[in-house]
Amino acid sequence: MVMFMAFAESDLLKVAKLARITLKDEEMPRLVLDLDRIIAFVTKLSEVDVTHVEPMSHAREQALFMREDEYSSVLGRDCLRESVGYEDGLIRVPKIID
Amino acid sequence: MAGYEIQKKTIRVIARDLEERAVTSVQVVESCLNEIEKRNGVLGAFLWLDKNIALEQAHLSDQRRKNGTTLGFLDGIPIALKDMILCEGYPATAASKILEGYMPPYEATVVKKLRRQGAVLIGKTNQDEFAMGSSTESSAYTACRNPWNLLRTPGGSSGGSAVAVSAGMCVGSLGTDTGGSIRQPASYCGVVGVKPSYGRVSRFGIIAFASSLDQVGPFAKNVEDAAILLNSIAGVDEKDATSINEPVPNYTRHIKADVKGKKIGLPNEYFLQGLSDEVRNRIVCAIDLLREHGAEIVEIDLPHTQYAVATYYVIATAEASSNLCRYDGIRFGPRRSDGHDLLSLYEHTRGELFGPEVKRRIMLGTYMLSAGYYDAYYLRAQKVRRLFAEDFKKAFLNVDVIVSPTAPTTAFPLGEKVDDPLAMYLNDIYTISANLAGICGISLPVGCDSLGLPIGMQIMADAFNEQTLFNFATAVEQEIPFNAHPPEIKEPGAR
Repeated sequence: MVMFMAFAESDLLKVAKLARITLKDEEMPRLVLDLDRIIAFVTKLSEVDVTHVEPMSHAREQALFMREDEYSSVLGRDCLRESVGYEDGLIRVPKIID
Repeated sequence: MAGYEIQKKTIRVIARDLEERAVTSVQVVESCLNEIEKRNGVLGAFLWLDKNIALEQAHLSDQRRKNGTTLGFLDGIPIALKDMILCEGYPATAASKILEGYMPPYEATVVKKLRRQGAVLIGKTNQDEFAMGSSTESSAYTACRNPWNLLRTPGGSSGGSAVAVSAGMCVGSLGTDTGGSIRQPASYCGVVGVKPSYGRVSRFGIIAFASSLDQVGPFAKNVEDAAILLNSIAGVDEKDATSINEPVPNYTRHIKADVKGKKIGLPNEYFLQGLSDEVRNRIVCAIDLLREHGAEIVEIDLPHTQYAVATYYVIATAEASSNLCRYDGIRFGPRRSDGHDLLSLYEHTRGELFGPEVKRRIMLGTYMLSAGYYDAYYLRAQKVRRLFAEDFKKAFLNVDVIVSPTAPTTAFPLGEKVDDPLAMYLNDIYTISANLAGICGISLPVGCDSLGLPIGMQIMADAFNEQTLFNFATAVEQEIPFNAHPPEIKEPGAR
């Protein structure tokens, strides 16, 4: 059995960092409350006996078909044009390493 | 012919009228566009459309018919697409600000298939942001209303596609269903909606929410139209390795409304608390009619049903947190930042442009997948998922179909569940299991409640038995013809 631990603001900040999402101060109390309730709710899965049950990661577990290992162009470089940072066939981003 | 009355006409009837030159595609499409112009301001069914692009396709269709080069059964018939579905030349936003203005450089296999049939792709429909919701209220762009009662939700997440068909703004439409997002809005709007078996329809070119659960399916005015539309989009696709290479029967040709000697399973767990009496009574009446026609009714157990919503929300949010990593301001949509570094760009773009429900789910999924919680939540949910699949496998050894309500109530008031995510999630209780198990389901209208709101009945069949769904649904439809239409809006803009 998993004991449900209350979800606190410190958990929210950690998760927001992992998810790469900034949160405004006014969003936080509500999110903590919502996530706490939802996590408490899904914790009821701990009641189910899953001993010797294999995880099911997909609805159809038969071997998926494979294609030939040949290059085929689905999208050309044109798809980069949708980026607001598009310049001369490249995407400009802020400096990554100082 | 001025004012082709499209609102009550099916694909079958319009295709015949087109064939007999009783009407042109341009007239059919104009009729839809008039309806959209008149009512979209209030109903909010469409997020985007371009009259000229729609009429140009209709014009080309009429030319083909004149030249004897008609492409397929759908030639000239206006079909709407949920905004999750990529279509070249049409923006795709998934109703999110993070994809505002995005023009996809390629299109979905289902769209290619519709084009090959000559369908007129009339526009992109409203939905919950990234399909996360059950009321279309999380759309970042505009509210969507139920044509049967403007104060009620159309359901979701494919609310716009359901409303567009219900209100006669198009003849059929496509949606996506991850946990009930086709069947529940179909139920609330009095139309037919199909969630095909996982792998039946290609997901290539569909904006991903939860990849192991998502499927594309049709909305239509009746069961036959739904079968026609599913036939036009189903089949294996080399661009989607999860599509399954199983033959696609000609559903319409093989529809047999005969239920004599067939077994219908009624899950005990689906008729318990939370189900409204009016919905229960209507479904029981429909089942009695099937019994009178020789079907055998069998009570069955789906013992893990009480864990469906919890299992679904762990798996779906975990997959979503991973799928939505790609929206970071680099390749798609607008950028936001308060500094000069890449991290600030990622965090502000995502923090400012994702809506509250999407953020809630991404964070929930991230939590479920994070170190220390993965085994307790995600891995455990995957194990419980197997128990669901086994419940259904066992049930289908004894019965041909499983019948239930599509949703516990009829359309609920707008705003009622917006502030209570858990209550919103629990609305999906009857539809979620089909996605977890990968089986197929249909919702069809079987009457209205005392408020005049449609009631949907769900029929589920084992994977790749869509034909069985259509057979049973046709039998129900013949016994309980649903001829009601949403009331005319008296005062445009009235709330």
